[in-house]
Order: sequence, then C-alpha cells, then structure tokens
Amino acid sequence: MSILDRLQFYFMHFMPYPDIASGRGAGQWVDIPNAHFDPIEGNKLYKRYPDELVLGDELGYDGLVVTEHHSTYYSLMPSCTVAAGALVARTKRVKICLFGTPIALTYPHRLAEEYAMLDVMSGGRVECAFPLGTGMEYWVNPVNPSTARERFREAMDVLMQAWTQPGPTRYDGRFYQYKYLNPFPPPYQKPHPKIYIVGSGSEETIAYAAEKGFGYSQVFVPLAPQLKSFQNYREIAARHGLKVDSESIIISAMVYVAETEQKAIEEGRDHILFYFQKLLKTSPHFYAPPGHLPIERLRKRLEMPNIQDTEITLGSSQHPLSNRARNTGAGRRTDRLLVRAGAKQQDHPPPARRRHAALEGGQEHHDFRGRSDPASPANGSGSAAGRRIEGRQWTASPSAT
Amino acid sequence: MDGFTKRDIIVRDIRVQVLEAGGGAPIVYFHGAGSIGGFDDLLPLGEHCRLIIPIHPGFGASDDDPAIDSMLDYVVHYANLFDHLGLTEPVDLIGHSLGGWIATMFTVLQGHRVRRLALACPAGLRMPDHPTMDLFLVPADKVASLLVADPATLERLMPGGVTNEMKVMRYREMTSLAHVAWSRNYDPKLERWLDRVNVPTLLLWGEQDRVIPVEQTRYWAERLGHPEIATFPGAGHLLFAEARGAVGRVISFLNGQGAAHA
Repeated sequence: MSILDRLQFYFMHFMPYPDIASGRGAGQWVDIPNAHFDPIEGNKLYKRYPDELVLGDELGYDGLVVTEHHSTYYSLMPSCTVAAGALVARTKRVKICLFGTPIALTYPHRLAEEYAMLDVMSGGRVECAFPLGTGMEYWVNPVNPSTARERFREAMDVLMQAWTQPGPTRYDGRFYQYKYLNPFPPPYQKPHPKIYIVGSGSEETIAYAAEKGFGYSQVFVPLAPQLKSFQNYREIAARHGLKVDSESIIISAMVYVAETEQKAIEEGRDHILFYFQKLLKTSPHFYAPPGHLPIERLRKRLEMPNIQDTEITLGSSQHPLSNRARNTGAGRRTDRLLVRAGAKQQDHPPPARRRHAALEGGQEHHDFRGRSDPASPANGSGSAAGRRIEGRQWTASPSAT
Repeated sequence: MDGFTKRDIIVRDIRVQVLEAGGGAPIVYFHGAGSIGGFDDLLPLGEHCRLIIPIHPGFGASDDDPAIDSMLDYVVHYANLFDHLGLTEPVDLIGHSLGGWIATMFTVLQGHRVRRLALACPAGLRMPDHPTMDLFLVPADKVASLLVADPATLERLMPGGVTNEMKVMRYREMTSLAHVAWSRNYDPKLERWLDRVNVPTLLLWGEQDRVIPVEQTRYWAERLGHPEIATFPGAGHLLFAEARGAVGRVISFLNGQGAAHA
C-alpha cells in the first residue's frame, strides 16, 4: 500500500552551537550561561550553516527548513525569519519552509507581515509550519504558558484573517485586538502560503489542523505513531470534505548517508547521540511550565517509569519496529531514519531526483525506493528508478523525562 | 471534630467542592495555592463555629473555570458563592497565602460582607527587600520542602509520600495559579487599595516562612492601619500545619479577645 503518492525531500537545519556548556545536568536550555558564547565562533557558524542550506538548494532538495528556538545552544536561530531572509537572497528555486516562529510568542500580525514579506521577496517560495513552541520557550518569553494553547489558536485566527480577508479588518479577541488589521505586504501566493500545524500527535491538534484545512507535521515522534496520526488526520479531513494530498503532511526523520549501512551507523551514531543527549537535553521542570503540557500527557509520562533518560534504540527500517520501540508507547519516542544509498557514492542520485519516489509498506515497514514514473527526472537519468534505498531507523526519547 | 462534610455546589456553571464542619456563626476560609495536604488542622475552628472551606475553581476536587485569569474573577466567584450559601450577613474570613490575597481583595471590594479578617502569610504585596519567592522557578519535587520548617510536617500531611496523582494535581494547581500569578505573584496596585480594608484584621505569620518572608508582616501592618499581629517561631509557610497556636489565636481574635487568651 502506498502511503504517499509523491515524496519530496526538505533539508532541515537546527544550527546548533556545538561548543555546549558541558556537564550541565539541567541541559542546554533556558538558564544556560550565555557568557559562554564566543561571537567569533558564532560568526563562523552563521557563515557555515547558511552555506550548507544553500548547498541543499544546489543539490536539488525540494525545500529548506529553518527553525526557531530560544535561549538554547540547541539552535542559533532565535528568529527563523532572519535565517529565511538570508536564504531567500541566496536561492532562486528551492522552497523555504519556516518551521517556525511560535506564533503565541509574538504578535500574530507581525508574523503575518514578516512571512508575507519573505513570500513576496522569494516570489512565492515560502511555506510555514506553526508550532506551539516547546515548554522551554515559555520561560524566556513574556507569555503566560497557561494561556499558550488558547493564545495559539487565537493568533492563528488573526493570521488567517490577515491573509484571507482584504484589509483593513477589525479583530476583537481575548488576547489580541486590532482596530486595523492590515498587513502590508500581503503574501505573494494566493490565497496564502502553505500552512502546517506542528503537533505531537494529540487528537485535539490533529483535529484542529484537519478541520482548518492546514497540513500537519510531527517532530520527535516515532514513525509508526506519525503514520497513525496522519491516518487520523485523513479521516477527520475527509469528514469535513477537505482535500488531502501528499503535501498535507510532513514526516520528519533524521537521515545519514554512507556507503554501507554499517558505516552509516558508525559515522552517524555520535552525532545522533550528541543531538539527543546534549543539545536536546533539558529538565522536566523547563519542559513543562504550568499549563503547557495537557494533564493527560503529564499523567502518561508519569505512568511510564521504564523510560530512561535519553534511551536510543537502533532499528532497521527494513524490519518491523522492535518490540521495545513499540512497547514504549506513542508520543515518547523519536524515530530517526538513517539511509544508505547504493554501494557506490556516485550512484547516489541527488535527493530531488527521488522526489517522486514512493514510500511503501505498512506502519512497521518503511522502505524508500524509486518509483517508475515517466515524469520523474529521476527516470530521465536512469539512476533512481527501482532503486532500493536501505535504511536504519533511530529511536530515541526526548531527553526531558 | 470527626472531619469535614463535603458537598458539591454549582456556582455560575462551575462545580466546586465545599467542606464544612461545625455549626453556628459562619467562618469562611480561603485556602492557598495547594490543596493536597488537606485542611484537618483547621478542624478545631469547627468546634466554635460553622467552618466553611470552599475549594477554589482549578484546585482539588473543584472543576476548572477557564475564564478565571485575575484576582477580580475570584472575588466575583466568591461573591456568587456567598450568595449561593446564603451568607448575607457579614462573616469572619480567613485567608492563607494565595487565599489571603483573595480574602484581601474580597474585603476591598465586598467589605460589607466581612466582619473580621484574618490573613495568614498572605500573598499579594511586593516588598522589594523581602520578596515573595517565585515558586514557578522551583522544580516540582523541591516545592514541598520549602513550604515547611520541619520535614516531619510533610510526613504527617502526606504519609504515603508523593503519588503520581498528587504530581498531576500539583501541576494542575500550579497551572491554576499561573493563570493569575505567572507574571508576578503580587499586584502592584494592591497597596493603594488596602485602605479599603476597614474591618478588624489579624496578621499571622510563621517566622520560618521561606515562601513569603515574615518581614512582610510589618509591610502589611503599615498599610492596613493597626492590625493585630501574631508570629510563630518554628513555623513555615504551611502555618496552620506547623503553628499549633495559630488556630487558637484566630479564635481569640474572632471573639474579640485580642492576644490575651492566645
């Protein structure tokens, strides 16, 4: 059974600050000593990282993804719009996905303006994914976390009104009031750039995205629950008569490419561990400020005492998920897909040539491979059709346990 | 006293639990930002009067009221609850910590419904030199020990230790507190309003209070006129759990007997 008809590949960057404040049990977020930051090193990284993203454009990725996090060595992008601005000027073809400013942490009209500005500047290459923002972000921004979810919904309403109704309009909400809601410029794409909601698999958020006609995306969640969420999403969208296509969902996976599967594991492992055990590490306290975590999710976390701090499981994408991974339950695990290409590096087609590849298999059997599609440039080169890309799947829990 | 009778009442569509003990003239107690330890230490009050402890919306066995996001919302809630309970004559009012803040605001705005006011380590004022601790900064597993002067108090209040359900309740109650006090655990305007408190007032404080320092006693006293003051050595923030004389002191105050019989 084909899960997706058309697959596109986006290159996502976190722009970490690798010289972390080591040995901190509390992790790398919120109260990290920022005096540790070296501006000379930062300047180098701010040259290197956009270069890497621009290379993604040259290599044929369909999209580049920039993110936003605050007060953390995990990311040098406290503003994804600034990062996107740098990329817009240096690229001509590739889509740029802002993944994204937590809209509840800013003024929604301002985000509508900035995203629209990028969309016009780029000639309509912008896509946006809206996260609630991690709990950690709410310790370092002047927004009450107990209002986060309600604020998020209202901010999205403001943004949608700004983008879909000819301005000026008026908005009177609980959190936001506008006498003249009138963003200038409005977006390049009509009616507006593609919108995704970033969720963690809760039925409520899936329903929200599907009912509003937004796309849906998950991060830090295993592939199997991701696929289950997408099935829920399709069903809810169908009930509302909304069209769902392959562009409606984003699957997030960490991919490492090497000549052999074993080599990929050897080379990739330390980077994966660094990501989960160091960069992503935070405390349960910072992870869950009051009201940010739904009560039921907190209860689930407390009732799964077997989850270790940063437990990482390696499983092949060619085989069913390990029992261990499945038994740990939804919402606590992150799958990482480690893909090796063919035996020879030069046989590895650029990712864009596989944009028409199909992702086949059931929930527990993931298998990238080329698809026989005459329209595919991959077939034109003869390099991807029928190619079987073997994979490795990383499973890990976010380190806030 | 055998314990509290418990009943649920609906106040403007929100179901809240009300604990009661004893009979006679009503005393209403507004609890602090945590309900997990229970209120058995207050039961002796029920031997002198009708003790009424309404559980705030968003706490304990009461439902959430998603509309509450300010102290004014609590005052209006309690004006409605007093109506519901038929408390038309002025009542004695006790408030502890967050409940002290609510009781103060209730007295500022509904002073005609209050006969005497007892405030136990109330929150709500900002004393720059001795600020109220920002409990939101304290990891959940460290909070309880800050509330008491003697760890044995916690063992008495939570003999089974901390269960997951308690952790869930704690998170919910901190969320309710966050709705009104995340940005600041005081109201900068409260001291402007305190001259609206025109009823006999008693301030009680634990001298080992690590959440709201005992130094705030005089700060409140200067702004309340001439309240009676009672501080208790060896008592922390959970005053009525640790200061065995506190309940008796409240009773003598409510009887108009001052400190003489404390």
